[in-house]
Amino acid sequence: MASRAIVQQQQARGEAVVGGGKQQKKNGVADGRNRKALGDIGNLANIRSAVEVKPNRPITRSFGAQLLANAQAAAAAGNNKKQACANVAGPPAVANGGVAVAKRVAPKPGPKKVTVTVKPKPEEVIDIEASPDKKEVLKDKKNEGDANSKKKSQHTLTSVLTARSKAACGITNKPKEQIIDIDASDVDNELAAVEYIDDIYKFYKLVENESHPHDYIDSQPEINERMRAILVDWLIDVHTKFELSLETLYLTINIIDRFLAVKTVPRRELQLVGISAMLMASKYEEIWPPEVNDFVCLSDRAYTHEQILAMEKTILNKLEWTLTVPTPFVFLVRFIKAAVPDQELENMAHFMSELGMMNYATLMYCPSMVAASAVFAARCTLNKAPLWNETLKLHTGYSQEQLMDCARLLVGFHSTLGNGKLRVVYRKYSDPQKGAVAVLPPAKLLPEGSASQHS
Amino acid sequence: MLTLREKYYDFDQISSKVFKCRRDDQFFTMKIVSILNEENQANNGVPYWIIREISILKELDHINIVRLIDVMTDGPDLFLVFEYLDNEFQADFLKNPKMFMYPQMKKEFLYQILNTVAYLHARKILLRDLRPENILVNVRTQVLKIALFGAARTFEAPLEAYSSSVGCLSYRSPEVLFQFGCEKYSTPNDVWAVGCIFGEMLLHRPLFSGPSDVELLDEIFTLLGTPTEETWPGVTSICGTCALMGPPQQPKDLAKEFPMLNPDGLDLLSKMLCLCPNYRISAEDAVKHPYFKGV
Repeated sequence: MASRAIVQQQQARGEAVVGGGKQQKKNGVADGRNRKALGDIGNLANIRSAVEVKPNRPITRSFGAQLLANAQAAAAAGNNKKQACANVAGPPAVANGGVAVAKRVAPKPGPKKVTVTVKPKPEEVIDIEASPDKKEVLKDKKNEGDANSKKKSQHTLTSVLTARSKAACGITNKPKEQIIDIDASDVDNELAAVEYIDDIYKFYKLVENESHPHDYIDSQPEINERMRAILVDWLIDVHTKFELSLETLYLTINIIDRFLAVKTVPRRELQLVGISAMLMASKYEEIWPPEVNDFVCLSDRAYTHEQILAMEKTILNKLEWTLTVPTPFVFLVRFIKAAVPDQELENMAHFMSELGMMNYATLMYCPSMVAASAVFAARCTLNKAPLWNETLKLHTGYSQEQLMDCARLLVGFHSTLGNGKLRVVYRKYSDPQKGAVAVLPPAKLLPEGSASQHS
Repeated sequence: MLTLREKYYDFDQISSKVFKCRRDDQFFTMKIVSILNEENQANNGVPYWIIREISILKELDHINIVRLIDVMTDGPDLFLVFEYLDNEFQADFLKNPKMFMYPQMKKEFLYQILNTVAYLHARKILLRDLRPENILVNVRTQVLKIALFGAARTFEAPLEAYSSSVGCLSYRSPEVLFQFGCEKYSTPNDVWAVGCIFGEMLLHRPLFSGPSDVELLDEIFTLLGTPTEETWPGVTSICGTCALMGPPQQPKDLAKEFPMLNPDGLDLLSKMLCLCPNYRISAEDAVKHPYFKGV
């Protein structure tokens, strides 16, 4: 009741209450946008840095176990009823079992002490003190009622004590990294589509395997991996000459691979498939797509206007007109953003991704993994510390360990690139405009054993 | 592979390019699209808008979107097979006199439109040409369907420059009207169109109907006031020339312009017709607006 009264008082005074409160104004205009807060991306300090447990005797292993047992017994006595997290400061809520539960409080000036009684014995009183310099930063969910807000993570006494006993045993020895809200700067930019970004990427992840081509090279009697690489190398050159968008390039390769996975293509028609795929991808993505005659000229008149159009129809029918597909590019732009990059890292990630696109071996990995591995390989190449972090792990959905194989592959392509005949990607990314990232020495990737330390 | 005639039968012409047909005791609507037309004299193959429309429609599964069942080719023609909508579904839904019999019906249909737009935006699709002519309704069952995705396209975030010569003029947002050539716009453009449709539902006439960009902007500013740097940060740099802005005008009182609307309705309308796209309500949030309580 007390906490409810405080909420009402605060609302009466017009103070912001998490999950509700007054509508904020931007430049004097009511914010009608009412953006959904990104529940899984926050800058919440973790429990160990936010609260400090001070028992009145040193935490030995046995004492830690005893505290844990006491807390569990108390929780059981309370019929496992969990106290909902409160958004405002107030006296400690008492659960059925007579155990006061530490509440999540909005930051107030100065440290606030909350005494939590585990058992009615004086030696087992634990102070949980909010550290003033490491207060929790609660995200303001504009105009969103408590009913709509996601359930906050609860820090029960058990979890606090477990964390402390683990710390005492040396199981955890470093504070958890903060997760950066990568969309915070775009809240006022409608072009960033912040309200939908989470939904979009959830949807991409959900459907990425539906449109991902399977291993097909063995079913193509006249085509091998080398021929595919030559085709992609040439298409990247064509793409650069036409000044097309990167979406178009990635969609082109996706169309080619999906088509080759369902149709046997003679060697002499492989370039025709590539041209027609780029024509289709351009129509889908570009405002001013190149015309068929442009492709006829570019192919040195190897194929006629009619052949290109016939192949376009064949591909569309075989792929059942499905071109709305997530390619590595759509994931790459998001993952690069999560890496909070400088221009060099951005260029390097794109370079790695295009190396992956050229090589058939990367087809065994799903688009999001190729994109994440490109960012990871780029960070390794540029010796970024840390190589992988919690923000990247959250947005990509992959740990460093999971990316190791694919990243090794990309770094391997980089190390052999200078010697090979297919040098379009190398030339493209040797340009000073692209930061000349291709000429940088390839990464010395970590051995497999050390991966888990960082993930 | 089965030919068109083997797969579908009992063709019944509805209009010059639209047929009703049957397969396994189920009815479908077939739309014939010619690849070779006056717009495609150079014959660049399948027009870009058909590629977009079909590939987008193939991915969508929503009760308020006309479902594409099949695509077949035959020479220079494409045959798009859609779910069959019986005669009770009438296009250009605001011309239906029954639409205005019950106030609750307007609210129901507005909710369905917003729900569909939110669904599309969450699948990275900009509608770009939302107008009453593209909306079919069945007044009896109170089901609404959005058709014709010729101007739709997918977007990536951050959004790239897209053609600004899209959509029916009356439903174009101020940010699109301000921009000439190829410029950037995003999901709020579709929300503006829904706001215009909402206004049209209430007034029984188009909310804005200027014959040109400049005259349309003038109509918008007459109702909603001339934007300033305070109400729309960066507006002066967007419009480039102050001639577009006209003399400064104060916003009208929407409560007087729309006396039939309750405070919740006025709040929603004002948020959908917010001049600044950054501050305009999203479709996702509009669906949760108190105006729709009880829908």
